[in-house]
Amino acid sequence: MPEVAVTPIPFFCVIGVYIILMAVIGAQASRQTKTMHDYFVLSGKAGFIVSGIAYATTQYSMGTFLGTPGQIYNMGYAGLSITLPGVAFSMLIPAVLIGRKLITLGHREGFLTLSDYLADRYESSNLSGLLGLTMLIFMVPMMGAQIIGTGILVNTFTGLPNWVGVVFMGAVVVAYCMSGGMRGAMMTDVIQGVLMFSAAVVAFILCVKMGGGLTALNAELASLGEGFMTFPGNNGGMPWGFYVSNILMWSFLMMGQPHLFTKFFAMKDHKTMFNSVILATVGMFVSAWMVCWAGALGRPLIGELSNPDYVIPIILQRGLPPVLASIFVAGIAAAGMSTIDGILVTATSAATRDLYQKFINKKATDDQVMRLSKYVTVIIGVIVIIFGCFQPGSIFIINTFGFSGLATFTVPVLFGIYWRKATKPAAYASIIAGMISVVAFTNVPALKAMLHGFHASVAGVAVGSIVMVVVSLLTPKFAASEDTLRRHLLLGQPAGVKD
Amino acid sequence: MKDRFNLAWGCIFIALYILIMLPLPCFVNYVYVPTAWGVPNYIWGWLIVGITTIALILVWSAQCLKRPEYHEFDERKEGK
Repeated sequence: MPEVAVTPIPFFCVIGVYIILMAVIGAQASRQTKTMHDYFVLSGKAGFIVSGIAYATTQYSMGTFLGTPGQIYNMGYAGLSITLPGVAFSMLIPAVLIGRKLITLGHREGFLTLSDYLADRYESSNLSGLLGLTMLIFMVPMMGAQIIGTGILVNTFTGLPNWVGVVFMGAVVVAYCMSGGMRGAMMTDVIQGVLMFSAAVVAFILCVKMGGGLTALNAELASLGEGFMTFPGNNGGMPWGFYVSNILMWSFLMMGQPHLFTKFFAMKDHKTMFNSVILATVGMFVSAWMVCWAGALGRPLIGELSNPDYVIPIILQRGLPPVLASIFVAGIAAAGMSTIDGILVTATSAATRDLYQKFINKKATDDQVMRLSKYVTVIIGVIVIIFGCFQPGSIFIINTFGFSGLATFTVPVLFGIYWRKATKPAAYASIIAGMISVVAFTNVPALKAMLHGFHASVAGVAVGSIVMVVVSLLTPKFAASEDTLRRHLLLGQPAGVKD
Repeated sequence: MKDRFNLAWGCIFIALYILIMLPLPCFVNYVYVPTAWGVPNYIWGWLIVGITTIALILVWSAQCLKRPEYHEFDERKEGK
């Protein structure tokens, strides 16, 4: 019996309906998008349902439904710690540490992007150019990883070559992001979020039902080897250092991810943020537990797989009629598309606002930037599609590379908000040192061994933080002006506030 | 310290965050200790901390929304 049965007709029917739905939402969003602020952050008017679901779906990627359950399938219960211990903190930590301040700054100062914020805080327009460029470098691979997964799904369920899925899905995402900007991305995220949540819950229920109950599945998993039930996992892949790294990556290092950072600028008010944190946390908590646990239980249920990444699609396909299975597989494709759209709009803003408007043509009006953004969205989308067609590496490796590079922005963001002595040279130095460290700790075996299981992105942020402190103390004359510090550290509260 | 309210909640959440990272047997166990339905014990440790965190998020949100600094951008205010 083949691992995955090819079912092209139901798959195409479901995907066809899904794409028409996305196109209608994109067209609707386009009619409501009038200004550059609309295009990038919905003019700071997003409500809590859209904000909460968009945050969760942008954070959840193709890896959540393919790569991570595949890793857990190989590792056993210890592998669940890739996601589960940190999931309740995933939006909470960014909201507590930076979110409430970013909403205030976004509304008062009109910031649209991470670069807007950092360039203003460190009083350096050149920093905006550096950030725009580095964001593009790391965001293209992140989007590429998602679109590669879509190509693999289409190939598996239809027999068509991978590039067909890459081009087709890429074109759909580019179309609704180009026409509707952030509004199109966030509105489609709501549908995609519902599909993803349903796919996760259904996968777990099917798993338990087909396996004869949780007790029977666990007994069988334990009989395959005690390593499946304990740390560091069956393949030894989850030492304590990596356990801690996953908790940090899932929440703390998300603060440096520009596509999630921007979501706070789009929120209507603080009430929206608190309600979004509740909605996103509950949604991610339930769906992460369901889909990850299904990955572990898939081992005794399905047996050996040549490609463990398919454990969730196989559970869905074996437990449901073809049309229903295709609907939930569309939910997995939705996980990739909702991540791409959030990153695509942010990458576009990095190119047009951070590089073009602030660096290349400082006289460009906001209307010109918005018009240019539509073309740039298409250009970046085409680059991502080409990247996806060539598939230069595995989804996991490419995604981690992009994530780790962007995670280094966490350092100037946090120090900028909380430490008045953080200086402009220190911001540059921390970003550069952090990125070099990530590459070095990933690729040099001797350095990697020194981490004792900790992830390179954690080491990169640690090095960046040390550099930030040392360089700031050495360059006090480059500290920001008192006016800038007063605005960014929120030293003047609105009337009526009682401390 | 001026902002005691936010500091207190920040400390509570960071304490939970650090707690779940500790190499305690209830979070990271190198021995299989089966519990209900054969589930390893540390899974319940993560679940309890996760649910506690969500419950505290609800309390935190409700308390924050009673404070004036979190109503600066309310639409109702803008309309005035």
